[in-house]
Amino acid sequence: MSISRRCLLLLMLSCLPLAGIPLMAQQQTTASAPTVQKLPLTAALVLTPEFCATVNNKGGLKFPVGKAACSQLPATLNAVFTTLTRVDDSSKAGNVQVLLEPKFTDVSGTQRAFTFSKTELVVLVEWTIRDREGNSIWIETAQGSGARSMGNNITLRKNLDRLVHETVQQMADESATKMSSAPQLLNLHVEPAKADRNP
Amino acid sequence: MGRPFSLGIVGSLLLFVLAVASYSSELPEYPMQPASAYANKVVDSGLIVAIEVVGDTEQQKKYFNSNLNSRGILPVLVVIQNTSAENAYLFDKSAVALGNTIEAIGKGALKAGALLGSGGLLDVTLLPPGQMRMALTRREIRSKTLSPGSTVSGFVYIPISIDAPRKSVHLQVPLTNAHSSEIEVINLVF
Repeated sequence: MSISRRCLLLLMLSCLPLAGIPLMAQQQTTASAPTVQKLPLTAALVLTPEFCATVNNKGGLKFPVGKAACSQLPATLNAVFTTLTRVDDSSKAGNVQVLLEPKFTDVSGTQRAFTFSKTELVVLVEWTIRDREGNSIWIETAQGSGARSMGNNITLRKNLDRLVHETVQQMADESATKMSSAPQLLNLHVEPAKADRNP
Repeated sequence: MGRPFSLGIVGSLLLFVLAVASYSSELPEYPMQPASAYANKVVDSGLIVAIEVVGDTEQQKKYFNSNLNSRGILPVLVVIQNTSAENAYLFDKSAVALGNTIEAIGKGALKAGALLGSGGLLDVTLLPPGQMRMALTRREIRSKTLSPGSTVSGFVYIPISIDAPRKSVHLQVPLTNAHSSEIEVINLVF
């Protein structure tokens, strides 16, 4: 075997682990949905237009995390509460027992250095849950993080959407788990929801 | 023919090494202790609030992958433990603030001065995207409801002068009683 062929073989062998790393990263970010305990509470999820329009404001790649969160959060949190109503303003919540107010506190992504290098995304959402009187009864931060190779310009959009979806879903799952196990919500002794006076 | 081919091989290997290096960029976890174990702490109303200043450059490089002192940023670990048997407290990180104004001097400090949040602390979200921001974000303290017996810990980032000795810092940490809505403000000076 010539020296050049040996070098080529060595390069191919050394790249084998590299091919497996993105696959491992993808497998880590596609974990199954957590099992959550249903809370006997009626809730309104306040997803404002500003929240749904959140995009990281710095850097080359734009991650539309707000749009993904407004699509994925209602479906995920529906498993936590007896009824969950989606509203775009807290004043439209009606007679629910708790108001769920999310806020993006950080959306941070790394830029890809090479075609095959991974792009990382970290999403932090801070939750405030209020009772009927408007008092804050629970505050918590949920994180989603993911990493994925963006590939070339043809696969970029598809891989970016996947990274955003996986990262936001991780944040939504963590939110659901934390809410369903919060003692402040489990022990919330409030009177049953009355019929909405302003239907 | 042979030389360009060899250069190509070397270039490919270099790219591979760089790619592997980027995959293994995980930083070690900062060692935590119970709040009561720290030297600088305040005990009040069933709460222990402790701080640890990470001013050593080598420590900063180890845990933040960056010399933060040279950028006018002082990382301070905050550990809050609720030792109350029945009260829960709401910790809102955006309410943490400096009780005194810190004069920013020097190039790095001026940069940090442009990244301040409302409480006078560094707002990490104003940093440009990259590994340093990732490291600071991951270690930053987060808002949390402190049920009896629970703890929250993480870093706050304080703007400092780099051309002059560090002045005393007064950190205010407000915590709201989840039941009565009364606010306890814990003051730490270091």
